[in-house]
Amino acid sequence: MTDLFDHLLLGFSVVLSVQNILLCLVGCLVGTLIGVLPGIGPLATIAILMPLTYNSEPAGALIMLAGIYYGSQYGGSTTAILVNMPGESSSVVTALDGHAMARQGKAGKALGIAAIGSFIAGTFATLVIATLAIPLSKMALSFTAGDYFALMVLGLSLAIVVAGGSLLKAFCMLIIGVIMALVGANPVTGEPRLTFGSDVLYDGFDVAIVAMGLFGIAEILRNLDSPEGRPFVRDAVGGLLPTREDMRKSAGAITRGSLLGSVIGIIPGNGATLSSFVSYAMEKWVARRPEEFGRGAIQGVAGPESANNAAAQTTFIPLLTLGLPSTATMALVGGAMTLHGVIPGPRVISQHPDLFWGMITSMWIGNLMLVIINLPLIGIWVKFLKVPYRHLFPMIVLICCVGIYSINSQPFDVLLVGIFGIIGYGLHKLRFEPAPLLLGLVLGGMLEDNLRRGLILSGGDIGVFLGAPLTLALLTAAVIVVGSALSPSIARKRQQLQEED
Amino acid sequence: MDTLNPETRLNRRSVLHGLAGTAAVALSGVRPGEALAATFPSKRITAIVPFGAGGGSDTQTRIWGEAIAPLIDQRVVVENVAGSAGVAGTKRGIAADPDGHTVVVGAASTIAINPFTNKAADYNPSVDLQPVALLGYTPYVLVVANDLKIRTLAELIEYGKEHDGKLTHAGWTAVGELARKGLELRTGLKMRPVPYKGSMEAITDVIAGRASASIVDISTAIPFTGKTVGSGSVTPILMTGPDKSSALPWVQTTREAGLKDYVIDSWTAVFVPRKTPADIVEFLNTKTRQALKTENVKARYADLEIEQRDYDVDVMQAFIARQISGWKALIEEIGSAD
Repeated sequence: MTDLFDHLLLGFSVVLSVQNILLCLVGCLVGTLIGVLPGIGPLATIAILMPLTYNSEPAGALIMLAGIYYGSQYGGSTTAILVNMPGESSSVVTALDGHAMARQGKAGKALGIAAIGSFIAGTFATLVIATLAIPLSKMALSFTAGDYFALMVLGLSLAIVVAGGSLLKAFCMLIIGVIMALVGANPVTGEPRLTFGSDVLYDGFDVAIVAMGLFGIAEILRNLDSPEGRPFVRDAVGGLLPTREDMRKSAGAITRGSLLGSVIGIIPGNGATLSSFVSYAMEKWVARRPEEFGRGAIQGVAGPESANNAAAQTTFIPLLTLGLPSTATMALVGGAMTLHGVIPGPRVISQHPDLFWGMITSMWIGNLMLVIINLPLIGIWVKFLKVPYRHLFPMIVLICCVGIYSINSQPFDVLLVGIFGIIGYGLHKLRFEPAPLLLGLVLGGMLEDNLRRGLILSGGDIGVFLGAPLTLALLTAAVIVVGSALSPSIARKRQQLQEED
Repeated sequence: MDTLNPETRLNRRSVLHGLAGTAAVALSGVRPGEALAATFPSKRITAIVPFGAGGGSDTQTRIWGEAIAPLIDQRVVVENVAGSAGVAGTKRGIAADPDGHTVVVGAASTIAINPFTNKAADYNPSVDLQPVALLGYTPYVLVVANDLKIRTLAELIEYGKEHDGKLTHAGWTAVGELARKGLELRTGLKMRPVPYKGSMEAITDVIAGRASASIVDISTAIPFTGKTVGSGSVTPILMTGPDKSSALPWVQTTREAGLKDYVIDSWTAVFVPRKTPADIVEFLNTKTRQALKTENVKARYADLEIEQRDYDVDVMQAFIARQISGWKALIEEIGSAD
């Protein structure tokens, strides 16, 4: 326990320098902004801003990038509540009751409870990371290649199950993603694979490029599809502070949301989004009067908002302890760490304690900043929504292109973003969820590495490779996950969850 | 199945490159336009790094860029041109105006290995590029798992003979693979190759005893080797070069172990297109060496476990020529041995 406090103290000593505090603030503000704006998410923003962090200290750079990530969760919920336009997918359920509250003139309360819930959940998640990180990373050092392989199979199975739409389609997307991860130089021999003789594919597909196309550009194309609706903003936001009665109602929801979010965030896949859906379903289930949900139930805001914020933070755990990015955004954060000479994995904590604990405590400080500084600024953020699409979208596309070009200085990369944008739009029209593709791309390379490594180390004996107790347990879990998703009763639940989307 | 047997291709290609090399050496040494150095540099300098940001070469280039800027009164802009394992950036550097305002950073992989192994690398570094200055040098070290209780290379070879097919080598990137094959060629040792993405992953499995050995850069190894014999979580048994390491003074060098023609190390150097005037090359070399001597640079290099070597243009040229011929010979030998 004293260790924990020593570590947090070390963390605070890192964060509380003028430079790092400022970087944290910048990260939170940028995060809120992109959370508010449609078409540009934390993924694209981190990809764009990554080159700008070269010259700062690694700790400061990561503090800022993390701030963008959880800051965007705040921004996303602001617009969800005020104008029924979730800026991020994790705020989709917040819009249900949050916007209903806004229509009743209680927008301020909804925003207030969202911020308070997020802050409490953020504090809780910070403690979860601080306690879990060391034991997990110690455990990770004893993980064999087989264990890693099984862990990734489990993660990918979960990703299929939690993706929207049909299981089969999600599975297709996953396989395409994994195959895309194989494009480029063979990791052992350097021999080109699946490049069709083209030099530009020799280094494989860059996660940032694929993600920016599939999500960023595709999102803009989708928005262009529907006629521009003037967002409806009520001028009267009302008081921000919830009443004692509101707090009493929300306390349980916030607690449950924090717990749920922390657990779900650790699981690979889009933890933040999933946890908000699960939390909403749970609140509705435990509520004494479920019929209030959808008509401005404050628990329907408090729960999911706490959950998505907790999850956004615990998503860092697999990356920082196992070196496994569980989402594309985390893959980019991992890239940013590598860029500063810090290799994500079980050795981060022992070799770069200042960076690790600095980043963890910065999350708590950042959450505090979001509540104190950001909440009063809500009016300004909403004004950004009044920028017409015809100005906003070309600007976002331009920023995306400049950002991508600056990573490798390759014109072909910009072209690729465009191609993936069109593919992403097509996938949306055909109701294919692109998230599993991206996760397949992120984990595919590691999946191959560990499979190959494990088989070589076991002398090519598949029985020895898969027979280790932990490997077997993880693989069994993966089978159960997929199997249960196929069972009729759970399949129906999945259906319901998506219809609420 | 041809991925399992890349050596056949490697061999054919390196022969072709060898031919191209001999033809090209005769053409080198042409340097027109010597007069314009007096005003150099007249604008900012672009340093092309042929890798994505964040690697060792990139870091050293950025440190160098910051340190040299005040000495030449111009900014240095680092441009990462990644692609085809460093080939794209190197080619762009070769094609740049030979006026010294564009330099390209090279490493063993882009300068001495790719031209002999990578089809896309259709350039000849001894002809197309002029070495300017060495930014940094990193020795490599062979480490083995503690539980093997092996202290020297001879013991490792002995162990390999007694336990046929049991030794594994945690390799990473093309350099790691060449390092293993070269060692096998020179010693008769046999180790099964196990692929890793990076040196940190590789050494982690050696520490855990899941892989027997790995040849890694000394910056990766130092935190785990301990400060005295037998005190680390891995056992360093051989410096894969002729020089002693000040951090690991008890570890044998290739010379002491009686290994000939086997040097695995890594370095980062600045190059310019071959036609760049000699006095500009001289100027950049002098300023670079001056910049690397500042306290700030020294401190950051010490942090990164990178060695500095103060080479003038002639020594530099000889160093690079030796690197190229050394790697080329090793690659060809490996190719013909399989």
